[in-house]
Amino acid sequence: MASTSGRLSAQDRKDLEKFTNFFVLKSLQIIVQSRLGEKIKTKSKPVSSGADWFNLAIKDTPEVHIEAKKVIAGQQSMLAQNVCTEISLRTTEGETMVLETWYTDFDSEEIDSSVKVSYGVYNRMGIALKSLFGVSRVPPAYRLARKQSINGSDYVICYRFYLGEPQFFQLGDGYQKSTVGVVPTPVGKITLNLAYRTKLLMSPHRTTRDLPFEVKDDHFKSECSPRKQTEPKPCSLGFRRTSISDDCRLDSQDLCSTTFSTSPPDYAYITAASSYKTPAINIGTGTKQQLPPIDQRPQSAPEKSNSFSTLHRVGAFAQPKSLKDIPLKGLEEIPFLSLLNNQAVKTDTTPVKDNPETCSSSGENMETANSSTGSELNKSTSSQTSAPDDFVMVELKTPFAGVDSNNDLGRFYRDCQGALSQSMFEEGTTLNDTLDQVTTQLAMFETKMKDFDDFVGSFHELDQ
Amino acid sequence: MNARSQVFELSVEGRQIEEVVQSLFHTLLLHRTLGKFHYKQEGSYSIGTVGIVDEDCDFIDLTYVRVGSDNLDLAIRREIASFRDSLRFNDGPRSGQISLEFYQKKRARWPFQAECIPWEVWTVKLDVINLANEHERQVCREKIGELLSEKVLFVAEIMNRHEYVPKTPNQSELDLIFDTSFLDVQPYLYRISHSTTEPSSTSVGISMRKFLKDTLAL
Repeated sequence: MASTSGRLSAQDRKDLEKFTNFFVLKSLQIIVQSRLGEKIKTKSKPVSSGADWFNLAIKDTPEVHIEAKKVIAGQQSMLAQNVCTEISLRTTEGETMVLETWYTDFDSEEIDSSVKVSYGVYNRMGIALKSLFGVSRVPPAYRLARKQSINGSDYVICYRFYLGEPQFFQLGDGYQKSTVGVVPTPVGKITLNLAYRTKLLMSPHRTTRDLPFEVKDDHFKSECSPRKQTEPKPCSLGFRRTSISDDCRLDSQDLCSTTFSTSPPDYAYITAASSYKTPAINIGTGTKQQLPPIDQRPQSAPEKSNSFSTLHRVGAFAQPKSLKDIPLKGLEEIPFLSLLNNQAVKTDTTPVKDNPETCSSSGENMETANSSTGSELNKSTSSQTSAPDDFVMVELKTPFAGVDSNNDLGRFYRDCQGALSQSMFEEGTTLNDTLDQVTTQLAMFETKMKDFDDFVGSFHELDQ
Repeated sequence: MNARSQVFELSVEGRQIEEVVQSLFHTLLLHRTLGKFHYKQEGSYSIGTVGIVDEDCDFIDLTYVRVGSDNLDLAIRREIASFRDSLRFNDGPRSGQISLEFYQKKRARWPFQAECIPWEVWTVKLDVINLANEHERQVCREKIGELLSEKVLFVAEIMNRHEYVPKTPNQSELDLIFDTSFLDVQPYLYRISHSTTEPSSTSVGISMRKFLKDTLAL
């Protein structure tokens, strides 16, 4: 980089480093977020807020942002070392299998001097990130990540960032490599790559709980060694503690250190000369966004020791839920449980909304709705005595039922419960009689077989 | 100028037609859609933000990423649905092709209409197959998912060659390069066209008839 950077102006060099820095940060966000196990949905905005780098709506996960910054801070110069993201699977038993390694490398030999840093390189980085979005949904790890959100899955997907050479040996035999995005710049080529495991069968020999061979302290070269082996973190950890806002995404120094700090809207305008169609960038005409002081911004919870077993119990990739909701889980399987609660309320003759217990437990809209329905039900005309003990719901006025409970669901239910036994069971038929009946019936079907065939044939014709 | 052209060929079940085409076209449009341009003054403009949406397929083991714009999605779906209808509900054609073409306009003198010059064309050729049982459907579902995954990687490879795309225009020429009809995003001008062909099974009969007719005409 040193030999070629002389061709660039100081401003361009500064911009390029800044763009690269954010390109890496955003790519790490995209990778980890794609392994959350949930679908991503961000809205397009006709007018950018100014914090959307590369004109892409990427909601930063604070924990991932902090981790990524830590790793990038370890670099001596722009992409002097590869930035790697390792995605691994950890089972409840503590077994680990590395699924894929994403790595960004830099080749200072391949130079594209025709491209302008401002907008040209910026735009190419945007395209590479779009490719990353698309490609990150393709490898097997994506399916695994999505399945982990299903209750009862016995693994969690983790990530780990490190600098240096990607450790392909952890991906097992027959792993595949793929280039995701390429960004040629005036000082070299940035490439975003993926290497992923193809053999997903977990066996004791395949796991990477321990390295497969003895590693001496000086086994790796000092400059490419993952010096501080960081513990893989569950991808979802940050997501579940979401405290995402535009403000917490950028440190104030990110905006101050360079004038072309974000996507063009407010910080950098692209000026097109009237005689020439390609716009040149006029940097630094914008005003700076006022950010709250760092200590006033939402702070993520302090890092705890991330025992997977504890995470798993609360549903590692499920929607955030308070712990006290969980014991109710089994009870929810009883239909219309909330209606039962209202029976208790009825006996107290206390209006539901005045009951502090009901209010405190109805944190979600759905529950609130049920409660209000329940208060209506207090006016139900039917009585409890006519119903069997194990069925309470019929006594309540269901939302769409008529006034007379004998004509609605209650009647239906009672009919079903006390159904008359069929006449064939009342008559004491012998086994022989039954067999005879079956035989005659079969014979009748056989004689009418042509009719049946015609009938099915008529459907087939209609289909065509 | 010659437009770049890429062709994808796949054999799919009738119910997979839409999702196959949607996944490919949306992956392409993700790369070929920018944020909305807002010209502030002569020559300077700001660019809006492009949202991202994950879409799961029902009949293929695949999740693809599309631009977060419901209107763009709707416009694409409409075109693809019409292609699906012509493939599924007619007696004859069991194969067809649908193209996503990016073009730019060149103003012409009155009374001629603006000239459309394509610069990139992506074509999806589909053969519709019938599967006998649920097992075959499951295999097909996975197989098509794998094939489309390869195509997504291929699209990424092509897009990252950074070949020709029209230059960013002045405000007066914006609608010669971009489709400005969407309120939230701004794709390059594109159009979708499709055609269907006769089933290969009857082609022998048809060509025989044609041959006889031609002979008689002599």
